Amino acid sequence: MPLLIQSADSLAVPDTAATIQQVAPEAPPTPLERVMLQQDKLYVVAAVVLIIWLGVLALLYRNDRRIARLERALDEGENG
Amino acid sequence: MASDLRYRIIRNTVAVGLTGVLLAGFLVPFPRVDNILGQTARNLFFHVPMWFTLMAAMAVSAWHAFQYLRTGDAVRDVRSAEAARVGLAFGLCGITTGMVWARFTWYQGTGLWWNNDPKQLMAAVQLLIYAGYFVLRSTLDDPVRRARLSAAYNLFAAACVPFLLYVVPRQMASLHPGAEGSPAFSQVTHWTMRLVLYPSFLLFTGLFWVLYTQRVRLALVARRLNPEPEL
Repeated sequence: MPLLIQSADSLAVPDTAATIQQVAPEAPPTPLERVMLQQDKLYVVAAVVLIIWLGVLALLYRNDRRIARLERALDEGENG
Repeated sequence: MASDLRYRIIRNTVAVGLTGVLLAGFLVPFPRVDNILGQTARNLFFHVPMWFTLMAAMAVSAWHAFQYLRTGDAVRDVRSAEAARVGLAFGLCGITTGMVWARFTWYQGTGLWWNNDPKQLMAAVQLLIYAGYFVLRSTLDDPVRRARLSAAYNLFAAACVPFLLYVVPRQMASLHPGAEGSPAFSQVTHWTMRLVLYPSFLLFTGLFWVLYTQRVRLALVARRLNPEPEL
């Protein structure tokens, strides 16, 4: 069932930018879709959260490397 | 050092473990509690550990504050401040997640984001007390005075924690488990949920420790680059 969203107030936004159409899928579900659509699409949320969390972890590990580099530079500066 | 073996083991355990807790939090099956909570009961795995971590962090902070007052070692002051800083971040996460959770469950239809629930209110007071710790630190220029005064304040702030977060709310009618009018925690938590919850407590505390250790190392590097005059 197509979903049409239109902006209620008229700002200086062209109509085409304000309307979103969602087209109902015609093709049969792919294997990945078959998994993700289970549990009322809960797995989609889990995937989103996982992506965010992995990004946070990447930041954590990167910070560790940068601190270690700083410490090493300081140690060499003092002893070199 | 950031390459220290113990640090790396804890960091990697936390990384893998929390990924697991996150997924399990979404996927572990549990019996439906009621129509108010629905699936939001899963917030248990994330909201409650924020507070557990806050308490662990503030205990670490208070410990280092006490040690500073005892020994005058400036590194203790660094540790105390960084533990409080990271702990406060967890506390802010706790209070906002609590607001969001309540808004769409017990307060659905009321439009209320804040409801002066005793535990919620006292937790906000506790966070303000710790915010005051940082305000105090920022007003003092002399490093020794700053360290000493803020360490004393820190001990006061830590002493407030059991009263504000536990003793006071339990005396009053509250949504939170264990208070007047709400069943005890053990009565509403199925054992499958505890399998996720207890590791979550441990791992989020581990995450605090990793973040705190990073910040302490960074602060010590900064001090080596800009040594403070009177210490």
